[in-house]
Amino acid sequence: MKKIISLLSILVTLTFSACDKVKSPYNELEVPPVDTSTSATKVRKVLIEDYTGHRCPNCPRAAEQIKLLKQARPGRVVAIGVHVTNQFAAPGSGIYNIDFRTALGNSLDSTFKVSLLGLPTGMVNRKKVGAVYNIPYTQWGAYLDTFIQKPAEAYIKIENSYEAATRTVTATVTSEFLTSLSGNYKLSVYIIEDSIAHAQKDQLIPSPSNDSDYVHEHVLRGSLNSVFGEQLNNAPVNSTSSFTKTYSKVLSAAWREKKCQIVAFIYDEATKEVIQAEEKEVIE
Amino acid sequence: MIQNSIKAAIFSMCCFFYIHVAAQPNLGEIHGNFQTDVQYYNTDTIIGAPIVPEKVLMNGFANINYTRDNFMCGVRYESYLNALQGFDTRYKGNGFGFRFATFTKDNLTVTAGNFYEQFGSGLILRSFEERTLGIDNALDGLRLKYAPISGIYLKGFIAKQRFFFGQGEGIVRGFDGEININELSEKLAQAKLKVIVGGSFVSKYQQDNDIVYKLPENVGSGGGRLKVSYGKFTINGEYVYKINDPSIFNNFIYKDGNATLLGISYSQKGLGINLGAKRIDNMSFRSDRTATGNNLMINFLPALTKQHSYNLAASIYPYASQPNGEVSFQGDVIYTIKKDTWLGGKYGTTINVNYSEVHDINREVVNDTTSLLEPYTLGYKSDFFKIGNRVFFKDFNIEITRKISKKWKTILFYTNQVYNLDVVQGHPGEPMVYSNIAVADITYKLNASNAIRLEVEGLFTKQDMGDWAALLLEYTYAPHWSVAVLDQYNYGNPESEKQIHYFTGNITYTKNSNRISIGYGRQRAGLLCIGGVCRIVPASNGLTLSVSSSF
Repeated sequence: MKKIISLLSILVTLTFSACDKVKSPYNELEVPPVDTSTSATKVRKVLIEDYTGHRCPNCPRAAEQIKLLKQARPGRVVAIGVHVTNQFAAPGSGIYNIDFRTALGNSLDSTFKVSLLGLPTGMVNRKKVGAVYNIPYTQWGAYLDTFIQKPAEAYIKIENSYEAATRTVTATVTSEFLTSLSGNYKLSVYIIEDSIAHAQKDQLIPSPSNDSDYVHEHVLRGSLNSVFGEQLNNAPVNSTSSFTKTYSKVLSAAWREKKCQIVAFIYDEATKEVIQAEEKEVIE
Repeated sequence: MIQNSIKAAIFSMCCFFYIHVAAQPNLGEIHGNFQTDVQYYNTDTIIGAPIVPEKVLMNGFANINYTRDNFMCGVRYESYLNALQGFDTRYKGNGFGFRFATFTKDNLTVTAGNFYEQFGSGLILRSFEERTLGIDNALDGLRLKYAPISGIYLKGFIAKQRFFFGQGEGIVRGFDGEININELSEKLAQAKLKVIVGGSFVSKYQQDNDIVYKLPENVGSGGGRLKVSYGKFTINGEYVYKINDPSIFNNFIYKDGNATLLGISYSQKGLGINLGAKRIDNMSFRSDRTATGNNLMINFLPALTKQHSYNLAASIYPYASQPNGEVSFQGDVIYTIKKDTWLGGKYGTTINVNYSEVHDINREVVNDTTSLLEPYTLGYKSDFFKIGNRVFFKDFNIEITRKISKKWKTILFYTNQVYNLDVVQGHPGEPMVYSNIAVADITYKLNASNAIRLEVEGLFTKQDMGDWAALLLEYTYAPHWSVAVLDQYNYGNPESEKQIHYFTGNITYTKNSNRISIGYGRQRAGLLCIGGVCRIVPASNGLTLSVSSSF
C-alpha cells in the first residue's frame, strides 16, 4: 500500500508540475515595425470575413479580434463584416431597428454555409478546412500567419474616383500576377462602410446587454461585380499577366461616402481560396 | 475519413481472422445492434421549418462486437446521408465512428482504439455517447485498467477525442485511482460503514497558435471524491480543480476553475430522501479551446434539477447546466402511503415532492479597470460561500401516483417554475419566465393486453410564448403495437399567427428486439435536453421512420 501511495504522489506531483500556469500580462502582442519597403514589394494580404449580427451577444469578440490582428500584422488584413441570419441580424424592436443584411451577404452565407454553426465565425481567405469554410475567430490569427508567410502570387492596385453629384464611385482595379499559375482566377469587388455607430448586443454588458455606443466596422454594403465576381484569365497566367477592370456603383443615400472603401480580391475559381486582397477608400 | 475507414476495416479483419484461427470448440460470440432514423421533410413556413434541399435525411448506425473469453473487439459503422435537421452538418457521409480491441490478463485490462470512460461523477472526465443529442466524445488511444489487489482500481489513458469522423486537435491524458475500503479484506466487507475514496488527474495539450495572447498549452485538472454509507444513510462528495483554461466558452478568461458536488440520501421502505448541492465555477473543460456546441467536452456537469418526462415540462423550458458558473440545491422526497389505508387506498399512493433552485455564482470585478468577464483577463473573483443574485432556474413540483383499481391508474403532476431565458437559452434582454404546469395522466387497462393512456397538460405563463396545452392519447396492444397521437397547442401566444397546433401521430410495432416506428407531424423549434446538456432542435414537419434491432 505504501508503495502505491508513494507512486501516486509522484505521479500527481509530476503531472501538476507539467501544467502551464500563465501569468499576467497575457498579451504577447509584438507589433513589428512597419517596413515601407515591404509594402512596396507586393506582399500577400489576407481577407477575413467576419460573419456577425448586431443582435449576436458574442460577436463583438470577433470584431475585437480583427482589430488586434490588424495591429499585430499591419497592412496585412483586409476585413469584411457580413451581417447574416434572422436570429442575430434581422431588425428588432427599439434600438435594433436597422438591417445590415444584404442580398450579397445572404448569398455568400448560403454558398459557404458559414452561419450554420452559429455566430460569430468567419472565413480566412475562404480557405476550406476539412468539409467547412468556417474558422472560429480565435483561430483567425493562426491562419493569417500561415498565409502571410507565403510570397504573394498576385498584386492588386485599386484607383477610385467619386462623382458627388450622382454619388457614383468608379473603381479601376488592376490585377497583376507575380508568378506562373495554371488555375482560373476571378476578381470580386465589394464595397464596405466603416465607423457606423449603432446598437450591438454584447454579452459582457449586464442584461439586457445593449451597447448603444457600439461602432460597427467594415460592414459589407454590396458588390460592384456580382456575388462571385468576374473571371480574369482563360489561360495559364505568368509574371507578365495583368488585367485591368473598371466598375461603377451608385452609393445608397444611407452610406457615407467618406467612410466607404472598395475591397477587391482574387480567388481560385475551383477552390474558392483567395490569393490576394486589397482595399482603398472611395474618397482619399 | 478514408484513412479511418481503412483502419476500421483492418480491425474487423483482425477480429474475423481471430475467429478463423481459433475455430475450435469455443468460437466466441458476435453481438450487435442497429438503428436508423429517417425523416421526410415538408415545407412549413408557418412554424419556420427550414427548407431541406434533400427532402429526406437519415442518421443510422450498427455496432458489431465479437467476444471470446477475455478478448473483445468491435466496430460501429455510422451513416449520415445527410444528418437529420438539428444535428451538426459535420456528421456527413459514411464511416467507422468507433473501433476497438480490449483484453484482460492478470487483472490488467488493455484497450486500444476507441473507448468511453468516466472518472467519479464525471466532473473531471466523462467520455460518452448520447445519440439523441448528437454527442459522441469517444476517446481514441490507449487505456490501461489495473486492479493490483481486491479493492484498489487504477486507470490511465492517453487519447484524442472524436470530432465527427475525425479527431480533435488536443491530446487528453488521465489517471484515476479508487480504493473501496470494504473490498480490502473479508473482515472489512462485513462492516456496516462502507467507504469508497478516489482521486483523478486529467490534463489536455493543445498548441498555442495565437499571435496575440499567451495561451496555456497544458491544462491540468485534479480532484478527489468520497462516498460513505452507514445503514440507511449515504453521503457522497466530489471536488475538482482546473488551472487557467481560456477558451471560447469562458470568453477567454484566465481564472482557474472548480466544481463541487455534494449529496446526502436516506432510504428506507416507503421513504426516500435526497438532498444535493452543487457549485460550478468556470469548469467548461474541452480538448480544443475553440470548440463550440457539445463538441470535444472532456467533463460532464450534471444538472441538479428534476429531469422532467411530461411533454410540456420537458420540452418548453428545460434547464441546461451552466459550465461557466452556477450554484444549485435540490431536495427530493418520495413517500409511499401504505396500501389499505384511507389515504393510501387499496394499492397505496406514492407522493414525490421535489424542489430545486439554481443561481449564478457570486462574481466581482478583479480590479477597477477590468469589466466582469473581460476576455484575456482573470475575468472575475468569486467567493465560494456567496451565492449570486441572478436566478437561473427554480422548480417546485409534486407528483402523486395512485392505482385506483385493477383497471385505473392516475398520476397527477404540478410544477411551478422560474426560468431565465436570457441565460439558459441565450436570449439577452428577454424577461424571466414564471410558469405553472399541471398534468393529469390516466391509464385505463381494458384487459391484459389492451390499455389506453391519456395525458392532459397545461402550461400557464404571462411571459414569452404565453399559455400552452397538450393532449396525448396512447393506445397499447401488448406486446407488439402502440399508437399515439399528440397535440401541443400554443393557444396563449400573444402573436395570434403563432397560436399554432403541433400535431404528431405515431405507430410503433415491436417484436422481440426489433422495433419499427412511423410518425407524422410537426416538431416545434426548441431545446432538447438530457441530463442538463442540450441541443437546439429546429422546427420541422414531415414523416419519420425509426427502425432498431439487436442480436
